[in-house]
Amino acid sequence: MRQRLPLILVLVFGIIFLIQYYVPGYASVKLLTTSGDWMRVLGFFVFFIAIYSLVYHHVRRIRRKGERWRYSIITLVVMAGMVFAGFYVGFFTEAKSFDDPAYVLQKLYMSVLSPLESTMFSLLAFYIASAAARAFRARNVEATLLLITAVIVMLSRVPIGAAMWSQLPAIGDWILDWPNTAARRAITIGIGLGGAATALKIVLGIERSYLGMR
Amino acid sequence: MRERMKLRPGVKSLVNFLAAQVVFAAALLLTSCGPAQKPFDLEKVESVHPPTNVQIVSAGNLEGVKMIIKWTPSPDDRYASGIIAVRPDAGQEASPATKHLIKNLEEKPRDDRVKYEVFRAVVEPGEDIYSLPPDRYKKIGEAREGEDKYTDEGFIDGTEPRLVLWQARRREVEKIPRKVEESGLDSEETQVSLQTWAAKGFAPDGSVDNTNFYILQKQAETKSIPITTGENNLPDAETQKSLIEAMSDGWELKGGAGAFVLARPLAYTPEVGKGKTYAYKVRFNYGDLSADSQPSLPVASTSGLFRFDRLVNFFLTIAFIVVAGYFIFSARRGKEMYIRPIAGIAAVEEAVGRATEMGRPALFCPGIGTISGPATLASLAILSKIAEKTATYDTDLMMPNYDIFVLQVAQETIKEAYLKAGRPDAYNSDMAFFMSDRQFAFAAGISGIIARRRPAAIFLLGTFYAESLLLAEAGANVGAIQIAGTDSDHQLPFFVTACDYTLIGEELYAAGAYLGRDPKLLGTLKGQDGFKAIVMILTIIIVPLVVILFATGALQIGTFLKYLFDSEFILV
Repeated sequence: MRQRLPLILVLVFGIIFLIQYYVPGYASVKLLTTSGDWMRVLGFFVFFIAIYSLVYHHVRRIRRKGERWRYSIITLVVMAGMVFAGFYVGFFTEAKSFDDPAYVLQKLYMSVLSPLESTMFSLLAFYIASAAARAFRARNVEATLLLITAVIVMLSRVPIGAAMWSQLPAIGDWILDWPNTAARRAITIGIGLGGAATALKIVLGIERSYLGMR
Repeated sequence: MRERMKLRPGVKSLVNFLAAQVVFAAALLLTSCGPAQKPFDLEKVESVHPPTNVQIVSAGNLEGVKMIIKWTPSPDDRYASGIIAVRPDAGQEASPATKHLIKNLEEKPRDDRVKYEVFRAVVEPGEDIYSLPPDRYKKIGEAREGEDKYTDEGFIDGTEPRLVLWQARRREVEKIPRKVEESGLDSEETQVSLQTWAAKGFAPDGSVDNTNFYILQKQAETKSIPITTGENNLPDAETQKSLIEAMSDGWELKGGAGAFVLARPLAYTPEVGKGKTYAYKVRFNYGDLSADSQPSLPVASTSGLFRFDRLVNFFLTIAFIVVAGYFIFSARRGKEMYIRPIAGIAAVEEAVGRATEMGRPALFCPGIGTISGPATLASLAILSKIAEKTATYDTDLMMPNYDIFVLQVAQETIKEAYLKAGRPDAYNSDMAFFMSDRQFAFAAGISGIIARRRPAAIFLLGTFYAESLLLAEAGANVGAIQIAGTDSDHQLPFFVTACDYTLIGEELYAAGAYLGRDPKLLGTLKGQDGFKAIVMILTIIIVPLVVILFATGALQIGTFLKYLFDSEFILV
């Protein structure tokens, strides 16, 4: 029963929400929005599991003096600091907007987290260059074709390409608008069908990996 | 021999279904100019004509019903004249008439004297009440005396005009040989040729490379296309024919940035309550003059039992289930299912073996999708197979997670896999751990793990966004064998360039069935392929058919495309 009950629930609710998609009306909408609300409630409780998992992982490393355990101390201190900042703003200040000086949480976010995320994002520029340098080599016919196409498209995106040949931007646009779009749409159709097939497998109980079962 | 070069987008564009969509979009925008009418002087008229053909149409929304009121503009709407003004090419001079028109429009983008107002009309006792489309205006009863749901008359809202212009131009280009004398001047023959072509309106376009020939370009000319609307405010057959003829004759109808398009708000969506009856009328205001339309048919705001705007979607879903079901039952009966070899999936065993030989761990990343995402579920199916191999080969497995739900499932999956492999002692609950639910913090953490632990095999399977290249390059830097797969088509190029093997699109979903070889999973995979074959066949048949029917005028393209695009496809 322990294994069958989840499968039965998935089948029943899968069919219900499949029908819901095609049935209009207030009751249908209410069913959808209520289930979404319950998902958010569950997500909130599971959030505590996330905190527990993170804390447990790093405390264990600290206790065992594992690899780079000092960074685990920093992780826990920073996490506690952000939690404290959130409670401080909520309980001990009247700060209501992000511009308020008392909104410490927002300051920490904008001054620390956001620049760090931007830094990671900026690495992409260099990684793209290194990946391109590694990948665009004329090893065979297909690779040569890829190289030529990539060079055309790259030049068409920058002013120097237009200066070299006035038709280059148009050719680059054509490559992106027609063959590239056609290939992407074909991939998208495949992805959509794959997703639908996965959903069907889950509803019918054929795929059970989400339960941790085989 | 003199070369002739002409630009004719023309008829060739018709063979492409996308060109038909462009025409449809262009026609739809042109339609909003309203019926063809000569402009008139407001100060000299004493009355105006009302809008006509006020209809209430239903639009699907979450509650299944939403009313949209549509109407045909008043023939006295001065901007609905069908005139197309021209913005010349950059660097060319606009005609005085065009300059004057554009100046007026830019100074007065909205004429406050012109306004449409929507009123809710009274429904008289005994009047028939109809259901909303898409139930096709079925009579569902009669209005009864004394019920207040029929008696709410009053102003709802005004609709302001939005003023834009169409750009239409036609260019002709000629190429003539050029001979230059020793002095550097054009020869007499070339000068005579230039003068001959100048008399026809052609002038050098100033091309950089004009050593051996001149590229001559004629000044842009304008064209007016009268617009008459038919059903549902779409251009009628005559207008469509004119548009097709114009495009085949080299005319270009353009809107968007750099041009203005004349448009009218001819629809309004009011707030409605459930179970009430509504009828609307539209008032055309022009200064102090106004005229009311006839009220629309009274409709009741009931949603019915089925969303007919999703009818095509429904049939496609049923077809998919039938096809997949057939192959599942075939597989269960023992029918042999051939699956083509997929290099990325076949390399999984090689990757885990490599990690074992090198004494380095394997890293599995399920991406940043949630547990409800099909790509994440597919990656978890692959995880169980990989975990079995790492258990068998006694290889360390690391699995950082973005989503806590995924973490819970992953821990159970790995545990079950180790149990199945007969190595429950080797299982460690720290194998799957929570990293971060911030995208770049997650990527930074995994990049750090890769740099320090130097895994020999990295599996990037799931939903990825901008962090995909960060992870793939980090793995490439440590020399790991990388197998990636995602449903995010924007990230596929990054994976293809940075990883050794990439599962493109549906190969990710096929991986679980491929590795496990379960008959039911294989049957579903074949069903997916079978339905894809059906879609391909339908596309090959329908697209040319639509183009032929459109070209011959045998089909009201507006009605057909409206039906198609009003329905939601399963894949779109």
